[in-house]
Amino acid sequence: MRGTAMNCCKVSRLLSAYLDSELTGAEMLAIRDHLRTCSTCQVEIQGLKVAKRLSGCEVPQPPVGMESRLIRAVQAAKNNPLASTRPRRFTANLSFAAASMLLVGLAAVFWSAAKEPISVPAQPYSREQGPKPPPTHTELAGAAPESMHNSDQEVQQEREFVDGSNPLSGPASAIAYADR
Amino acid sequence: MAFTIAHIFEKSTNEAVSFDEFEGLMRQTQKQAFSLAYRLTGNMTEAEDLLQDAYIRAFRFFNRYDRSMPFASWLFRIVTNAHIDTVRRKTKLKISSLDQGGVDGTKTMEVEDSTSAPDAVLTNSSVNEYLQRALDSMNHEFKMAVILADVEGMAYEEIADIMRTSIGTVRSRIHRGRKHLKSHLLKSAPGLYERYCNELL
Repeated sequence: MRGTAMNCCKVSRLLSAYLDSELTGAEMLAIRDHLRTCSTCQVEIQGLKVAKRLSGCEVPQPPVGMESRLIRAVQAAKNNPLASTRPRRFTANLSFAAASMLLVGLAAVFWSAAKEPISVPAQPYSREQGPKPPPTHTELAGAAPESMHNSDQEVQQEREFVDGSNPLSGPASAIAYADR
Repeated sequence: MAFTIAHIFEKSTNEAVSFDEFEGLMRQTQKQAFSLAYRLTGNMTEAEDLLQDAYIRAFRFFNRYDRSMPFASWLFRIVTNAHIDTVRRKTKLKISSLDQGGVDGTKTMEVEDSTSAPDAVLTNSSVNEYLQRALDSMNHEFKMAVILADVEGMAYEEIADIMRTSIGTVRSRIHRGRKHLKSHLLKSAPGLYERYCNELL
């Protein structure tokens, strides 16, 4: 008898690797010997063969013109290195523009509200007081370094995403999220 | 050195010469990458979108590509990461309004019945449909390992490199993925399973 005899439990765990010839020579021989005599493992390997054959069944051909569309998209990204990598769609752009305008508006409202000190008016309201003047450009300029900082962070995050080195954007956390 | 927008712009300009090399690699890998993207997404349009996303990311960080490893392996890692990212975004966007119910306040939703699908006519498209349904019902990591092994025909070592895990884990994921596929098929399309069993005899 060649190699070490294996029991069904051990063989069962190695059957897929056996089908893919991803075992050592001794393991391959031991499993082959076991399969000659074990009908349970024969049935199991048959099922795995079907699964392997089916999952490897032919994928449709890529859509016509896909190659040139992809090259054009990469060329466009080359000319505009800071553009989004996401495929552009009209509806997506429209909703993004609307959401951006809303966010800018809300940010302006909250920012001006935060700048105003909360105080009880010393005198009752009178028409002569008039509305509070809008914030000046100098006041608004205070937000610029913050937005710059966010943009830098996004670029850094994208670098880490490609590397898979950032635990927050890498496969592990994302898979866990996707599988919830 | 701080990573600024000006820095990335300068880098891209310096690497403009590498576009020809990148284009050559794109032409070589796009068909193989499409197979992976198609099995991951289950549809042609989304597969193309995913590839576009992945190739642009790959081009932007082409200077970090280690030429000692195959470009396809590096690209596939980006494709799988981009897919996970897309799934995560979609999960976040699955919002349904409860205010738009019927007159009596009830709301009906169409839910696919995967068990009632007839498997009498086994055309290529229906085989694809069953396979995709089985793959989609699978754990994400198992699905990825099975696709890389069976669709792309990659060795376990390459898969381990792409998925950043050990060969033992890859072996286990592929095995469990195939077992899931087998039991899903036995349950939802026994006719198809039988046909494949007979063909293999």
